[in-house]
Amino acid sequence: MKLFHKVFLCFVVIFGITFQTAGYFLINFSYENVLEQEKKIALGDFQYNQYILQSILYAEPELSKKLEYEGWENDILNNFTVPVSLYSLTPLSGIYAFGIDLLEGTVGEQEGMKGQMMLEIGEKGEGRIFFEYMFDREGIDDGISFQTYEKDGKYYIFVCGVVEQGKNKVCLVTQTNISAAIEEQKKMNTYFQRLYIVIMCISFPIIFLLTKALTDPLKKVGRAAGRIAQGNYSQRIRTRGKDEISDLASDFNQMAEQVEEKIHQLSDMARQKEDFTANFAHELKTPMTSVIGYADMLYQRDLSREEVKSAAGYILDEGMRLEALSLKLMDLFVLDRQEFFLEMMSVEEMFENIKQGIVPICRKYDVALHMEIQEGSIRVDFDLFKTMILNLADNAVKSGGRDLWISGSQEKDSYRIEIRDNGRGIPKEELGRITEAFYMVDKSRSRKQHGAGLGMALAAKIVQIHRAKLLIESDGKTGTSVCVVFYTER
Amino acid sequence: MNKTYKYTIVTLILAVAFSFGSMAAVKLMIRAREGQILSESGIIEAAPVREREEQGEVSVEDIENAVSRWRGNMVSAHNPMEGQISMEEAIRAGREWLGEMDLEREYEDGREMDEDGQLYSVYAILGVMASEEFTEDDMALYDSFWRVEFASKYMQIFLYVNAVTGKVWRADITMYSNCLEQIPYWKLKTFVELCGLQPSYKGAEKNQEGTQAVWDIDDSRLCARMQFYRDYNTAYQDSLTQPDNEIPHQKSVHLKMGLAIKEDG
Repeated sequence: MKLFHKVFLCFVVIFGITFQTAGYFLINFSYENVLEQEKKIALGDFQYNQYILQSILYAEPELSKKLEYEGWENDILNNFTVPVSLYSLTPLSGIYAFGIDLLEGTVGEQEGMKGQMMLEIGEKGEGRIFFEYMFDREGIDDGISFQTYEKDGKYYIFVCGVVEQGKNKVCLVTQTNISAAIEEQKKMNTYFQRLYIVIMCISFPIIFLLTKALTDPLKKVGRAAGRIAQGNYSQRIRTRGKDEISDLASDFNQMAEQVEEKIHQLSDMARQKEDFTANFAHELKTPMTSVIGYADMLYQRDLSREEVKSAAGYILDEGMRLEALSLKLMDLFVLDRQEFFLEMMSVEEMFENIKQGIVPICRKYDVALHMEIQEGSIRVDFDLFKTMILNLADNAVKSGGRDLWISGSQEKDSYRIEIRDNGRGIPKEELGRITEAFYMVDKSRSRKQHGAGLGMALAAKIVQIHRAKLLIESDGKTGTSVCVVFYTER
Repeated sequence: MNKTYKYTIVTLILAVAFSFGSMAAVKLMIRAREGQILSESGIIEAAPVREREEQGEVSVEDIENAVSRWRGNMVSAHNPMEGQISMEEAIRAGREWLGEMDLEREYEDGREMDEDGQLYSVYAILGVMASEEFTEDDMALYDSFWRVEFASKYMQIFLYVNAVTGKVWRADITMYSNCLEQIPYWKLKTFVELCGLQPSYKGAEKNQEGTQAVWDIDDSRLCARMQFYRDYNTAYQDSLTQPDNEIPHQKSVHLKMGLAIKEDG
């Protein structure tokens, strides 16, 4: 079941329960109130008619004798304001109990209940009404009791109490018709139920739309997630408002961006690894092919001394190239896996040491060295720093230029080391790839010089370890400038 | 999509079922509660006698307070309280008042009869005449009255006998025969004296039409007021319930007298 269905059902259930509970308590409260009011009215009726009965008993102390005469009952009963029943509680001798059966319309005699005189009346056409509660009691006390009663769809409150006057003790029962009030209550009940149906009919579509409005944003998030899963990493959700749904949408967008970035990084890394492997295999294959070729030649054929020397020379060259390649590869792997401790060192002192490695290279390639190092200190691993400078100097010397300039200058929050040559330079379109492993601008020249295309990759890695910046500028014709900027306040 | 559609249908069915189900359940509960309420029975405890300071003599100020609270004829009946006269005493006081006011009756076989020998029926009801705006706690014992009714075919008398003093403070008399011809304003003096008050020596002030008279009472804001008018349309009616009667339409005379607050008081 979808969230939409659950939310919709919840709304309906909560609304229904709330409405019905409130309605029940309201109707109950109203019923109780109405009945209290009616009881007060019934009590008032009783009290009023109690005095009437007392007055009658006062005026006619021998009331029982009067009742022997026909017509007296009506004379007496007509004085009361509500239908009443009278039950004499004083024992009388020689008197039959009287009852008026209004259904028959005759006056008759019958045995009185518990031998008491009985004079009874009800609303015309309804017959006798018995006050069962009173007759259930063992003794009649001075309290006033009441009974609510329903008969044939009409409702009454009977109030019963004892009236004493002189020697007479009579139980008076008054009847108050409360049907009108109860009918009003029933109408209210019916009205409430109809109102509930109408409100439910109106609220169903409203709840439906409300639920849809709440759950639609979640559906959008779901759809966007689905598209991303299918490979559309640029999918984003438009955010509106500042509620939890918009927070979810913006978090989703952030996640999608991160995923896209990581995917691109992984793609790049995978491509780089692929290129690395391909280049490595190629760099390995090329010298091995030569080595195997010349070795085979030496093995298969009888060669002259000159030919043997030539072949051995090639084998030596390629072997040295392979050695250089493996050493540089080893350095690259080590750099990846080791933690380095950097310490503050004087640039001047470091270059004093490094110069001893650069000078022989310059002499070998007949390049003039110009070094100008300003005072300054940077945080480095000396061995790595030396390797980097030697690699960069080596590249610069082998670029075919006549001069090599190495300068170091202290700037505001950094120290800048520049290695510049006036060789053939690097084409602008190649500058972006110059730090890739095995990448060579001029493969044949590099191989001749026992290069493997790993020097700049190594230097870039060392710059990264030092958290420095590598800047390469070249116009591809008049030389190259390589700057390494060490930040002094990071 | 099909599954969603099915779930939607099921949800709607459940929602409708719940709505009607809850309605039916509450209806049943209401009906049960209705049955419970409408078959209720119990005992209404007799209201305890209100704790009041012992009512001594009712002062003129007390009478003024009671009279100023009168609205209408009778608001509600209540049970007698300690310090109030009984029904017999009230009826007896009423009879004595009738005698003093020359509205005599005779007795035959111990039963009361009017001048023409017609039987009186006598009823007495204890209640308050004050407006409903006053609560029970505002009422004093002397705010209660016995309304004693003497009724026969030719005369109907309502006497309002104070429940503490036993004096008649108001009388409404309707005559259907042997009617008075003019306002008996002189009776106001007797009325005031029977209330235990002192009528002013100035005498009664009457209006020109002869329908109203006022007799001031000394040393108080009270006065005794009388109204007299003829009614040519009223027929005699049995005291409470019977709309029909055997006596043809005839004129009647209404005489009302009672204590009141002076207009400038």
